[in-house]
Amino acid sequence: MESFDPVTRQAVEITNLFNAELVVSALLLALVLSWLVLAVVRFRARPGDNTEHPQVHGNPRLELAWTIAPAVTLGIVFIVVVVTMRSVDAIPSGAQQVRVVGHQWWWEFQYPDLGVVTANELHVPVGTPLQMTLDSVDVIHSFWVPRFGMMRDAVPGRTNQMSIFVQRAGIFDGSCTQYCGRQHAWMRIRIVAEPREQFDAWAVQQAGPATLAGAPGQELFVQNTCVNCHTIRGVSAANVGPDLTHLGSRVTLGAGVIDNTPDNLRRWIRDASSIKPGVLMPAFGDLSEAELNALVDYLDGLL
Amino acid sequence: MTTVDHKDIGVLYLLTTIVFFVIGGVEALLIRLQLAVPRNTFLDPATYNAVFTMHGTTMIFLVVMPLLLGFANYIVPLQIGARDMAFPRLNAFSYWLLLFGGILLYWGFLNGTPPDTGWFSYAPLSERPFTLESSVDYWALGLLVTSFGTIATGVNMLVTIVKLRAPGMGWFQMPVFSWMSLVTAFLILAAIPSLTAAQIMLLFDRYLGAHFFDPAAGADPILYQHLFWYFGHPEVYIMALPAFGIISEVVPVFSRKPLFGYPVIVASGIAIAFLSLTVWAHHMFTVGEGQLADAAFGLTSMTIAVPTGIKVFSWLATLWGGRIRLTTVMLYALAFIVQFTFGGLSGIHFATVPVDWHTHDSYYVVAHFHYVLGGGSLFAILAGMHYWFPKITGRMLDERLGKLGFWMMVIGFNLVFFPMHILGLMGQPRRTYTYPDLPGWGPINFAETIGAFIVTLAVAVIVLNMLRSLRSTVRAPDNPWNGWTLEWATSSPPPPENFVALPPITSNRPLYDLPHAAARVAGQIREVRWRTPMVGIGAFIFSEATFFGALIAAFLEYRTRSVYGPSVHDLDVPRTVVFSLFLFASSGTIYLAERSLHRDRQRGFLVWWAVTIVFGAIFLTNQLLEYARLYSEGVTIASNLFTTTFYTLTGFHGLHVFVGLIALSTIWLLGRRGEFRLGRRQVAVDAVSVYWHFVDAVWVVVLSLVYLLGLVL
Repeated sequence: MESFDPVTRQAVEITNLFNAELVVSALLLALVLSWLVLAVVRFRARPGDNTEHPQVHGNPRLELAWTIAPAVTLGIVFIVVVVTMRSVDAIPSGAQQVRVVGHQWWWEFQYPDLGVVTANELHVPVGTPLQMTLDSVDVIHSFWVPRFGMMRDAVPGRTNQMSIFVQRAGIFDGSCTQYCGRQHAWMRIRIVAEPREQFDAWAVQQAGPATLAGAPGQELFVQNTCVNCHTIRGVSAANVGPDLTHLGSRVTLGAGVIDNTPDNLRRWIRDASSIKPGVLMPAFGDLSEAELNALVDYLDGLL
Repeated sequence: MTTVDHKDIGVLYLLTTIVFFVIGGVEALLIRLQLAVPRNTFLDPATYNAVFTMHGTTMIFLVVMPLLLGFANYIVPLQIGARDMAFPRLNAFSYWLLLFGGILLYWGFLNGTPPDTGWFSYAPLSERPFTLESSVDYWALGLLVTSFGTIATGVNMLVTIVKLRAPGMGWFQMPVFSWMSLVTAFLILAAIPSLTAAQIMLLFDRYLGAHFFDPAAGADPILYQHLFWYFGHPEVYIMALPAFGIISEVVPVFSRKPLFGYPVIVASGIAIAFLSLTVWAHHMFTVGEGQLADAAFGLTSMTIAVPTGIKVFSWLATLWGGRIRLTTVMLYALAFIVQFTFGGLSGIHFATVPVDWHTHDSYYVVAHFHYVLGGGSLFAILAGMHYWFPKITGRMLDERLGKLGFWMMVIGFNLVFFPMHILGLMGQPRRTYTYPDLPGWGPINFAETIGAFIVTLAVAVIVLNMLRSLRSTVRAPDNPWNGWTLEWATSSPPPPENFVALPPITSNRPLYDLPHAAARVAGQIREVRWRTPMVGIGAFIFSEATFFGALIAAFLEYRTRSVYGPSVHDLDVPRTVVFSLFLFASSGTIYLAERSLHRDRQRGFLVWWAVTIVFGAIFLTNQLLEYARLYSEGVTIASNLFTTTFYTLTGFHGLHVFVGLIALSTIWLLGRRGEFRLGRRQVAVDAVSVYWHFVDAVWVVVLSLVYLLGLVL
């Protein structure tokens, strides 16, 4: 289970707290269950037995005990809670900055100091603290990668903070967890956690200009309404849909709804809402097969 | 259709909620069918979202809450030895509001735009830019209507229990179910008006262009969540406390022992009610309210575990040393104890902030609250249904069918909801119409869907058992379970006025004491001094105070947040202060009118009463003129955040003045015909007068905060 396989410092601490709570909860549940079963077995009425057992109305000492014992236990738990809270929610110094912006229904990830903007796939360096700021351009979303431990909402008009220190490389799944409308299901997050050098190389590549300048598909991209919503650096600038400057390097389309293959991209451009009903991208049914192929070749080539 | 008997109305509640339960259950089945396999296309996303929205809305507002109120309606007057509720006609009105509100909530399905913003309908998703359809409007209006009914029931229940208890039934001779119904009534009055306020703000935003939850105007959409959960968490206890009450009735009767620690059980119920008003933001740990707020609400939330634990331990101690009869009723109660404990323990996990930061809005939450409301409240309701069925219908249920239904229910319920804990911890988010085919997700979801069908069969068996019994000719005895509370002292079903004669009430178990005479002496009851309508108006004013509290909170929260447009400096403060004096003076004149009546001086009463009306009218006229001036200057509710909160707060106060003027005028016209004399219908005059004082008191606060404070700062 993802919750018990943490990959960040924050998730390790939360999992430790959670494990301790689960043990205490299990003990309490066992107590209640065995008390109940034992009572039923021992004190079940025999048929025909109409004798009356002692009519005990209470026992102040016992009642005091089961008021104080849980209170003390909870008091101790609360102290651990506050300590954990302060630790996992602390803002580190020297952190890599990431700005997370929620959109209906995709994620925008900006690395302001690296000049990188991407969507739905978040690359993070292992062994470097990450400072994320979250906000939204429309409704409330929430950023959750189970193995990162933390979850935080992206609220329009607010800027929230979240800190993560990734300790292990790998590909991790995440998703929006605040109901945000029709396609809340397909607002998934793909995390690529990689060693620092690999991350830096990726960032340099992503910060670079779009490839394939002057390709036939680029012409089509500019002529059609694509440019009204999408950025391809050097070609267009718009922020309604995801930045496509390096679309070819991403693994999924539509925030996880399908894999990024040429065939899928063709279907997506033709009629995105047949794949992701309600998506804000209009259908481009008027493109000829040849035009569509050229456009797909161009976009898929944007590595 | 025209009945005002609390028993008939109780039965209407039960029948109506069973119909809604079937509808909500079908919605649950549709959800489970869609989620049975990954990337399923059984329901399209829009339909799925509508179905899960209405499943939650239905189960909370149209099933669990009114079901428990229905039980209270039927049982509480019997348990306290009353002939009916305090206000029988208001009681009938509440029921019809519930039905009408329920139909409004479902209206969207008929006109093709069902609500699809979740049972919580968070702004800004529920605002115009993101939900253009009328779906949210019907949803909000439906909730407003049912809420008015619920508030009326809260007033009625509170007054009934406070004023109509049989001679000898002091506070500590009262059965626990009645106690918990009283506490629930208090919570209804304290919490539900906050929902009303939130819905009104939402509708104002949607229809009048107000800006309550509009970030572009400087508003914070999180305010909606505060108002919603200030209602929403007490709501959980509105659905849980009566369930605790049922269990506290059933466990002793089927253990043949008194409830262990009766005073502590009652006190812990009261403690839970008060604490539940202080924990709402634990639904909002991920919105970024800061560590201090999160820690504070985490602490209050964890504290609730203490009184809740006391209850569980007390029930277990009641079992110990008893003579336990494992009837269907008792089986449901025992399953309740285990499942509710389970849901309570996972609840503590959510109160511990960092764990909430990890598991919030995952399936772990879905599992948690279904254990509380399904495994808890619903199982208690089933226990209550099997327990009181003979009393209500005069027929016994079949035990073998009953036990079959029970075991299917337990197995099905746990098969649906236990695996959800695991799914949550595997990372499945809630409220999604489908999910990717990640390792393990498909099979676990499929198993849950099988469980849902087992629950469906269980419900069928339970309903079949009831229908079979209704057709049977064998009559149930008056007291089939050897119960100890007063509802078992009358016939099954009870006659129209409930009792032929009441036994002496000597403890919370009067029927136990009967053969053990001399064991106890009759309780000394101190009459509550307030007359019945005064308790009613007091309860009503309490709920009104919550409502104004919500509006005032919104005003204060937004006082300095307007990013453009008019401010307090556009108001004519001196003029408003002068005319406020008329309103304040009217509190004095109405006092003089009342005093005249108390001294039986008709003329003085009528004159001072008329002066009160004139003063109130002068105040209101000035307010209308002030509105007209502002509107002519282009200052409308849509201008900015300040005008949004200003018009809403002062407008609702003005509306209350207007309603007060109608009541005052009615009294005056009746008074002229000599309807009111010393000691004759005088209480109606007193009730209107208290309401008028309240309206004035609200204006003291509004004038200070809106007009004066704004100028000073």
